[in-house]
Amino acid sequence: MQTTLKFALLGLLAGSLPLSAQIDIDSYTFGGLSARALGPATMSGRIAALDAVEIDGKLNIYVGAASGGVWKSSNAGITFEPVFDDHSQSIGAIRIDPSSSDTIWVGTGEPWVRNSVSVGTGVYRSSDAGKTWQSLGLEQSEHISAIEVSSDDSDTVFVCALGQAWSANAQRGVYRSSDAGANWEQVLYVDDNTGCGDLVMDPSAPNILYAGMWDFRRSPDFFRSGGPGSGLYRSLDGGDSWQRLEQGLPEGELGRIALAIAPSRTSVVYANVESADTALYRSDDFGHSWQRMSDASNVQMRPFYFGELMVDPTDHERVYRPAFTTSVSEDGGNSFTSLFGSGFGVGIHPDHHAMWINPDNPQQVLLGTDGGLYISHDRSNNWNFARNLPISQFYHVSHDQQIPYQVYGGLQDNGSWAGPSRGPGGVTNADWDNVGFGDGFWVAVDPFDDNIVYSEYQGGKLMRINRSLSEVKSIAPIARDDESKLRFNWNTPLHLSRATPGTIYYGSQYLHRSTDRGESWQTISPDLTSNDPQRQRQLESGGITIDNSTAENNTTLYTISASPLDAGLIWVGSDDGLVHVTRNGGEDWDNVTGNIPDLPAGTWISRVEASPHDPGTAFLTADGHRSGDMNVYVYRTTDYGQSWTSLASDDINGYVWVIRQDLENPQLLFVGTEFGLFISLDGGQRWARFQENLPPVAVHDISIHERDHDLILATHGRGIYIIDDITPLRALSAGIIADNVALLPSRPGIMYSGGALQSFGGNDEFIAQNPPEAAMISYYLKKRHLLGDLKINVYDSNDQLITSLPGDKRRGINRVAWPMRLKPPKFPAATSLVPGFVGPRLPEGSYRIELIKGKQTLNSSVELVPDPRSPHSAEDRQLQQQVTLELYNTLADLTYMLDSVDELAAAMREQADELSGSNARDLKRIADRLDEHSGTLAVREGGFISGQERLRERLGELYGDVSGYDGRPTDTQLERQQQLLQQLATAQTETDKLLEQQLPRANRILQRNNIEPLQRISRADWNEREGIGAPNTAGLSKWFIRQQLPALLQLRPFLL
Amino acid sequence: MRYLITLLTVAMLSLSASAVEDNLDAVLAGYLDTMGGQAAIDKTETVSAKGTLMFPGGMEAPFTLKFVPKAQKMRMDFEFQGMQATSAYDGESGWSVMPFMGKTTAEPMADDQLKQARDQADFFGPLINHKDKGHQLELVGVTDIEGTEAYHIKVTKANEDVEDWYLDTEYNLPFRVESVASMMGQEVETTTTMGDYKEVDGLLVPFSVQVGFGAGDAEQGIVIEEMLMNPDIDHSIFDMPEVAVEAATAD
Repeated sequence: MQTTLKFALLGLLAGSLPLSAQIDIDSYTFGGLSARALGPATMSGRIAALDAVEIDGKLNIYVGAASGGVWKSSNAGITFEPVFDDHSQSIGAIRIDPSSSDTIWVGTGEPWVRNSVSVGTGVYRSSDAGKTWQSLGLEQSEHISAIEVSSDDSDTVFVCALGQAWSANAQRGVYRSSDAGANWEQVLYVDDNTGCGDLVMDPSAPNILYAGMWDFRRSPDFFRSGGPGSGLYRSLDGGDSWQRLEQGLPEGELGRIALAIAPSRTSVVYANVESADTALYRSDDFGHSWQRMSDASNVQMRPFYFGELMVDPTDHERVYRPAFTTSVSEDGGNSFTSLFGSGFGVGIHPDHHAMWINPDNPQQVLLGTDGGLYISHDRSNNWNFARNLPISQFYHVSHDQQIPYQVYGGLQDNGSWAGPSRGPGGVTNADWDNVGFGDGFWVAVDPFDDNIVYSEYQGGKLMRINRSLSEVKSIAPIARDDESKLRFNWNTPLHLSRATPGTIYYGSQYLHRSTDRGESWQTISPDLTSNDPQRQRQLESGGITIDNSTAENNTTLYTISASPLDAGLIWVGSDDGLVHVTRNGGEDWDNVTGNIPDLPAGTWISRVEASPHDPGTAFLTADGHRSGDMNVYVYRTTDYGQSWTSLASDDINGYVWVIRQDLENPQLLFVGTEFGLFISLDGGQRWARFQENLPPVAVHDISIHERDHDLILATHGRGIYIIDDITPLRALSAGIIADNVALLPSRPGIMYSGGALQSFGGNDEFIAQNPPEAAMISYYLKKRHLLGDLKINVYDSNDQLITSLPGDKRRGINRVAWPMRLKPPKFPAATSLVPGFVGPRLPEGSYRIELIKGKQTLNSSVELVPDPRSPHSAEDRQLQQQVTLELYNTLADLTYMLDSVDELAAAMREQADELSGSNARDLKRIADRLDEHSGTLAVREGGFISGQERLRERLGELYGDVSGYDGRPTDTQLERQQQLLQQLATAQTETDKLLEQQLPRANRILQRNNIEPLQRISRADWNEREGIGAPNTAGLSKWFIRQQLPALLQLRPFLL
Repeated sequence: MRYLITLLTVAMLSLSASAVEDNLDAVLAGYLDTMGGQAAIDKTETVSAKGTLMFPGGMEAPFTLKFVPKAQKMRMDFEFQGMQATSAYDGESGWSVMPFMGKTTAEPMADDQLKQARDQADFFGPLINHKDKGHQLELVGVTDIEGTEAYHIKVTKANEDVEDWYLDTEYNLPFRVESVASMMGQEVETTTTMGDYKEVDGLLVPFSVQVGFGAGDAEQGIVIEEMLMNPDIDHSIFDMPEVAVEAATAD
């Protein structure tokens, strides 16, 4: 209790001081505080690369996610596991060495360079089928489109490097290594703006290569595909020399070129060539000359985004063109038909980027889309969706106050979704609800009605959704006569006021406010952007092929933060680098951009965040990556923007998306960057990456749950992560960090009602784990504990020891789960399991915690609280607790009775073995008599599904039934309890009688043989031996059966 | 007391951790010294222990363990709902009694269980007397495990199984083992964390072992409450009985 007080005081002190002492931390300071992947995989995410190989009849699949790492399946796609979690999560190319299925090459940096594309860090190789990876350079290539490994020589490898998307650089083109990646030679280079868009190698003549070189550039407000550098190249000498191919190809500037060689006839090569008249081209002479083929709409579709082309391994006339949908040609590229009709008919997500066809069985096809992986076993007629790839690309996350709370967020090309933070048996794909379509961004739940959700899709389209009806109302503001056409960012900011619930803000170039759920809007600002016409070229964006998806809309507001402390105080930031603040609800706006030191003009403001602690304080992050500036920009103001201090640090890696200040400890800051989550405990002086179960994935948004104290992360590539209960993190002060050991506070343990019903859905679906059904006990260790005890004792209010738990021993924060129960009930020996694997739940209230580390003992407490949703009256719950405890004790009575008899019987048999003749025979007979009696009270034959039951089984079943329901037991159960108590009393009488007769008989035999007589163990001695104390009968709390079956399954290794 | 002195000695030795980091023998010698020395190992004929298996969600099962280290014999009995389960390895073959589904007679172990049992029967682990056991050891280097500096020793066992052992650089005590176990025909990555080292008759033994199976699964705990060196053990308890066994009585 004193410790708790101490923490509370520390918290208060910290709150009153703007600056704290520097706190030295590293990633291990956070210790076992672990992120929990919530997924979901229901909509999955964009897949950029695929490769697969059959080993011993098992299909091994490697999936390269656009921004969610590499996933491997060893069972043809039923289950997947991430195998690249220490490296860049943006994957461009995967190639399995054709000569060695254990050697896997990965090129990082997605090549489908849409506006939201991430960046890679070069080439990697695994020589153990994905277990470990070696970085092999080309770190500046940023995006890698393809890797080819020679079928003649595993050491000869070609990398097709696209190069930087947002700026010019030289590390692009085709690279060759002759020593398995130790050294690279740039064998094809055009200029600093032109990279390798696709590369194919002749599978039967690895000296023949074709490369599509692509001149392109992205900027915050514009995209250009095509230019003088683009062209199709061929090498006939293993990359030593390259010739530009022109015969039959279109004249003028070219854009992106997708390539495919027909494996069954390698003289046939196909090229999808972007030009003013984009079409498919075919060569029948190894690329020497080309013929124009189809220009079907899918062939012409968004060439920068759809750069994949495949030829059936056994049929050189069958060509697949994955694009908006996948089209197939059976006549060598003359004509195409869609595999999916309109693209929506078969339930396949549109936008297809990667394909693999089993060379040994072309019926088997893998397809990677913007919405995950699909698998066909009939040559792409019918498709299975892989439900096990949680690579969802969230832009934002928010939450509500339901129990369990729901999280909300919008995703790249996958609409907007809502799902629970925990669920019966975990959170399944089916637990998620669709709350918006298209490209989803911000989602917010109405503060007065959980059924009403605001979400949006591209182009600034705002919706209000009635979840129970799935009814959508469009509510976006429009320009009034005196206003310019509204310009909405791709990711239009939507913000709900915390100071005045019910007020909604929405940003175009103006700030809009609604106080009536979007029925009407007031414009409360002038244009708060540069309104620079040079940055308003969306209509012309795309280069050779116009691509106006609104993705390059610019000179728009990008971030809004209204102070939770002052309703009139609102911050906004724009994508062209301006920061404004109003202190009177929009009447006056102050441009504070010029006060920000060392921020290059025009740098995209990725987040403004009004402090929840102090009205004058705000945080700001900026992100210049779309101009090729990968620096970290993080600032804080404490004077309404008049001056700003940089909080950037070399310890923060990656351009910055978001900053949040903790709701309770103002020194605790969270920053999300392209490469993960970073935390500071001292107001931004020192930072460390949070890495426990969180890969270096882009963290685009962060939300903190006020009630549950969870940190909720929106990752762009790995779905939602939750760090359950950051209370211990909040308490890490400079003093505690310096301690060898310190207890940390945790949120109260909630004893949730209810649980999972049965489900036998196989294991092909991602199911997010729940946080442990336990009270968490947290502590800090300065270094790993090795010598002597480290354990936690839990005491009730009478200072009775309830349990002793082994402590985790790692450096930093440790968390130990205490299941909030008495020890499991005692059962007499038998041959069948009965319900009742865990002990009764403890009553709610405060429990003393004792942390023992070697000779040190620290004290604290933990609170247990009931499920706030419980419909049961206190009276009913108390009755349930009382009956549960009575049954628990009755089971112990029965166990003592049978244990004591069994031990006597065993001892008699042991002695009988030492004796002979009638003595031995008689002694055995008496033991038989005792065994026979025990067998009438507990099933000792047949067992599992034998249908047998005795008093033990009846009591166990009733214990399981009563303890599994938190409310009043049924009258029938209460009646049954009396019946069984009567049966127990009868059994006790019979047992006593039996022993009165038989034990003296046995002892007479023993005494005759000068053997010490036997004695029944006393109940008191038995209690002591079995560790049964006098249980606290003050009123047991509820518990439930939900974990019993899963828990039994956990016994598996020991039950084998 | 003796072990405290040993620790001090090792702590002083470890000041020069970098000097020995490429020297497998020095690391192993440090470990051997910390844990009590070869003589203490050699005089260990039998070991018994009792403790509790702890499962996520509050299930517990008390157990007893018996070892004959030199003969690689091992027997574990645990109790769940009053039922006694046994698994044992007699140095060559293994058997178990798992009464939970109604079968109370002993059954020979399947190959993958046998492999695990054989590993468990190696009481002092593969680092001790590794040459006699036919294991290949390689000091991979000094690495970082959850923020603790550790020697990484790759163990290739005589049966070609590979395990990664991590010993802290201060005391040279193993605290983490990564291995791949075969369970029900599936390969499962297993992470074992050892701690709470205590002295028993001159030997330093971990009293806490946490085992995690696969990714994300909650850990199972093994807590040793008492351990005895060289108790009397009837060697016949390791032999597979022909009929249902009585549980070995707890010490």
